[in-house]
Amino acid sequence: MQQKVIEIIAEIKEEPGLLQTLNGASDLTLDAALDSLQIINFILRIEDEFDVEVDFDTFDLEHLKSVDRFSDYVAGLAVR
Amino acid sequence: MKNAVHCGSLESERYWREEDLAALPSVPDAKALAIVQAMDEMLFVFCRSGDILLTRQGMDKAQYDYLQSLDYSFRTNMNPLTLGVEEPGTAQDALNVFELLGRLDPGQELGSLIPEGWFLEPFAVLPGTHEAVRRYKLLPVIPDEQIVRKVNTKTYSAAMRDRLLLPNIALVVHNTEELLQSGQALLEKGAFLIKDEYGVSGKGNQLVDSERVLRRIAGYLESSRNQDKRIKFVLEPLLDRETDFSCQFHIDPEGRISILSVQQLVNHGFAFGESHSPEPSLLERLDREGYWETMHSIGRELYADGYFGDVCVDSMLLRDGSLAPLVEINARKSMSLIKHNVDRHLKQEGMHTCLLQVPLATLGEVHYEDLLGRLAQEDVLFSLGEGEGVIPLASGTLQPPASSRSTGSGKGKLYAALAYRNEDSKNRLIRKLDESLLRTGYTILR
Repeated sequence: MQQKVIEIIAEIKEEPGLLQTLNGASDLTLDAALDSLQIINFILRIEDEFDVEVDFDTFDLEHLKSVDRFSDYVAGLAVR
Repeated sequence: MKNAVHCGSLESERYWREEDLAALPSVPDAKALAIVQAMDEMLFVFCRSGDILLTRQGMDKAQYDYLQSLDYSFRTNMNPLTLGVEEPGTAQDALNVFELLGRLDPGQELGSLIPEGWFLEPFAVLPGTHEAVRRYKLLPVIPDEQIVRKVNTKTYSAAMRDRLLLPNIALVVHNTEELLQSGQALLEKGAFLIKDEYGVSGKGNQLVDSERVLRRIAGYLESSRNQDKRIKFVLEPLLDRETDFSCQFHIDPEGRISILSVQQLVNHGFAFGESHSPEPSLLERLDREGYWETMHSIGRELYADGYFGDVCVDSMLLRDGSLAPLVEINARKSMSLIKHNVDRHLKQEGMHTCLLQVPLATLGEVHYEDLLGRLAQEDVLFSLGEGEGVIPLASGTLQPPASSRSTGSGKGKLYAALAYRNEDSKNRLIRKLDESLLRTGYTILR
């Protein structure tokens, strides 16, 4: 899942170079520099890719602290 | 002419938005809000000699001294506008600067900085602006708040295209069935935007490029978050834009319209990236196509509807060669007007200017004064003796007050104007600016 998440970030940012620079420890808002609008589009793409639904109103930005943490969060949604 | 007190909240749309309007998905980001709230420092560019600037967080002394050295002669508050002991992220953050002024203890520094009988020069007329005018006995030369709210909506801009017989690609939807129906029809031709009534660049414009996303947005609008809320959005096909630009003009209280400037924009996605003076070819094109008359017509209609003051109209040149003169009306001051006022102050022959932003992160404590010192040391800090250089426009945006519910720790932005002779010198200034930021302890997020 981690690789797919990174691919979607690179797609949203339109920066293929991120495929090489991001890893599981990368912060989505600092290292990938996703802004608030990009975060929404990123989440919508993730929902589509993994067939999950994120609750925007309770979404905790702490989930974006690393690719690994975000992947764990999405995996948790998929189990429900 | 009497002097003026300048102040405002640059996130005006946040305060105009009615609570009963349904909202598109968003992630609350207190840090982003803190950055925008600190942008009010940039209103110094509107100050004439002796004017007063009030800012939410108070200006760093080093920045104030630097601006005085550039012949900006104004007084300002050095301490934050605060109602008392309160944690960041609590109710005070929800108030705009005029609402804060309305609740301040008159004995505080800010109250003593507001002389009776002066003009108020707001960035935009917001809830609380009229009350602040009354409370501090300022001159009441500002338009009605409800009119300002109305003329800043996306539906008003869309209706204005019809009033002026301009091509109008906008569709207004009032419920999810209309959204799905119109959205599906638009998707057959390509991606489209759902625009919130008070959306701004970077927030409130949702790109829809698939039926899945359309259905997801419709579902969100029907969720408990939006239950009993009024649905009102503007749908527009995604324009294949070549150049974004905007026109700034002023309508005085008697209805006289003065065109002030056109600024070209380089946006990052839907968010502001850089503004610079227009290419001569763009101005020639606007002359040929009757653009100025369209701007005057918009001004006359706004005045007829009860608005006067500053206006910024967003426009576009499209890849198919056509001109879209009216993308959006912003009945307020704007970043482009800030850029125009920097130009007016510099007034140097043969010099180009641009206004840019640098997204930053900081891990530890960083002192703004050190950045100014380093820029001066590197010989790139603009001074009146030098023709070229970097002018940092706000101190508080680089490291705004911390808040718990924010994207990443220590995020900020540098807003700066650059004065340069040619593209080579512009690139050199940007390189030196980046180096100075890094050496002072900031991380650049680009």
